[in-house]
Amino acid sequence: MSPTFHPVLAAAELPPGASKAVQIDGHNVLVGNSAGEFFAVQNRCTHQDSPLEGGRIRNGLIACPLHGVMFDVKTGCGRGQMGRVPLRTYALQVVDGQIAVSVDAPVAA
Amino acid sequence: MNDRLRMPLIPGDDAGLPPGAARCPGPSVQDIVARDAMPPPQVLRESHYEFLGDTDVDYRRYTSRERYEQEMTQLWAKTWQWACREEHIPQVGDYYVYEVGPYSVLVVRTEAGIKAYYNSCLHRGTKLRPEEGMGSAQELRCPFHGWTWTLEGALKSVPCAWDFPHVKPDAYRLPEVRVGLWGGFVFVNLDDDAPSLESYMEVMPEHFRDWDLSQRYTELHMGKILPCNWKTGLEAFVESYHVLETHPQLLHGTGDANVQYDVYGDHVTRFYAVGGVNSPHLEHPLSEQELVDTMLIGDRSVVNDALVVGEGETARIVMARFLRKVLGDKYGSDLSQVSDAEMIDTIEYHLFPNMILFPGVSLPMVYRFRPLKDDPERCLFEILFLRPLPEKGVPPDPPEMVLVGEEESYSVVKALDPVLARVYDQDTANLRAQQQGFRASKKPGQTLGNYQEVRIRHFERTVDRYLARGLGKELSQ
Repeated sequence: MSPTFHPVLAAAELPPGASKAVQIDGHNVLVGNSAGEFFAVQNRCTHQDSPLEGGRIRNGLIACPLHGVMFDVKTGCGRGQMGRVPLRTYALQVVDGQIAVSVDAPVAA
Repeated sequence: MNDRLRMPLIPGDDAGLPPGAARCPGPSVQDIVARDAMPPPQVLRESHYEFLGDTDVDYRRYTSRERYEQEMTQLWAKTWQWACREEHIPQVGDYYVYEVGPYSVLVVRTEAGIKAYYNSCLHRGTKLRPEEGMGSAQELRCPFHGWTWTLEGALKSVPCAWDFPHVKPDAYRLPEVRVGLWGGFVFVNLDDDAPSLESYMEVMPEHFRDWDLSQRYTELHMGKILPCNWKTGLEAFVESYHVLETHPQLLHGTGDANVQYDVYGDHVTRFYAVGGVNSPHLEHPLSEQELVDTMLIGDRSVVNDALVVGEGETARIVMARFLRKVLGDKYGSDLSQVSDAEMIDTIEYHLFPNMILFPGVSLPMVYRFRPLKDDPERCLFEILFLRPLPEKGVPPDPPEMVLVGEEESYSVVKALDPVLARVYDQDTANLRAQQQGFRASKKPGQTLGNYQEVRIRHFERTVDRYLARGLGKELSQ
């Protein structure tokens, strides 16, 4: 069965470096723009559950605003001792300028 | 090899010269650059060698734990070291964790400029930022109990503050580490009584007046753990004597044995190796056109066939002109006023203790050698490439460090020129054998060339001077 994509935002609303939390079927998802590439990951740091929304995005990594744990926004992999548990990542499409995210099929981290 | 110039192979003859006065046969660097179309700046027209002795250098300085610990307190805690580039922390809240031995320094961009702190919570000592390298935060919050400071170092909040009536916020500001800025580098110094960065750098600010490294950006950052003392590693990169044996493929196109070596003050040395010439070791030198054809310097990704030596020109002139154009185009930078030497030569400065930098355009590296935690026989060797800032547009974000495995080839780094990957592989392949050889040796120390290895002697002399300040006496050679 092909995954269902939920439109969440217009791509134009999310300039490089920006991120926004959205709720999709009970999933708290962070949609962001890493140097022109959109991504979707769980909006909850695996270190101490803090929201990642607004964390600085650079070099394909998002830094948790609370303690600075960094995660690769494509693979979800964290860095260092506090980032040993990866973030869940979500499939994302941009169709006609609309960002759409699927919460069906977990993307392998 | 039969194409090498016949030179005496047996040492021991001073040929009637005072020690340190002998030089390689053939033209000197100054003879060669005098023929350039665009002559080098004045700082490259000077030489500043001094004979510093010829006794052996004790191997224990590379193997002894006691000495390593002295270096931690007397050298690493007293000297200026570059922690990061300014572009690593471009926005308020960006930080960089710099570590050397047991020390950890948190460099932070704040509204009030760049500040640095001891990276340790004032509650129970936990590192405020556990990982080395770049990061970003709007406040500094300890991951253990949540004590939080502003970016400017003021205590902002303590969970269960009622339990800490004895904690007065004024006494709990994060202790600062001194910061100095130069050439786009952020330097730190753990010693509050050390001289200013500018005076510590001696001749360097003057030498680099027209080499503004703040107008560069970090294109590539590689690291490799080397199985040797940090000084063993560094000393492999401050002499060109090893090129003949370690990098024979570079002999065409490098004046390896007539490199110029200069020593200044306590903290600065340099070498100046001309490119686009034959090694004095070659018995059958190449023609100027052949030199251009085989030149290994520069950026291989931009080399093409349009390289013909005209009447009355040298390979150096042709190559410099060519690279001025292609590198200028590639990096969107005007290089029309850059001298031949700055375009193609290998000009390498060492700033004590552990910074090596190349102001040239085609080989724009910075090296750093750092002791690792508490092991005197391991170090981290980093290489950065600093490219000219484009005149238009925004340079890319500075990259994270790519760590090349201890047993891996530098060729795993895709962005690195394979020619250079081979050179770095050759360089680093000697170091385990050398470090182990220090321990295997019956002879207690290493013997240095008076001229070509003078930077090593100068460096070790300065190490001694720092350690002696702690011991109150000069250590023996």
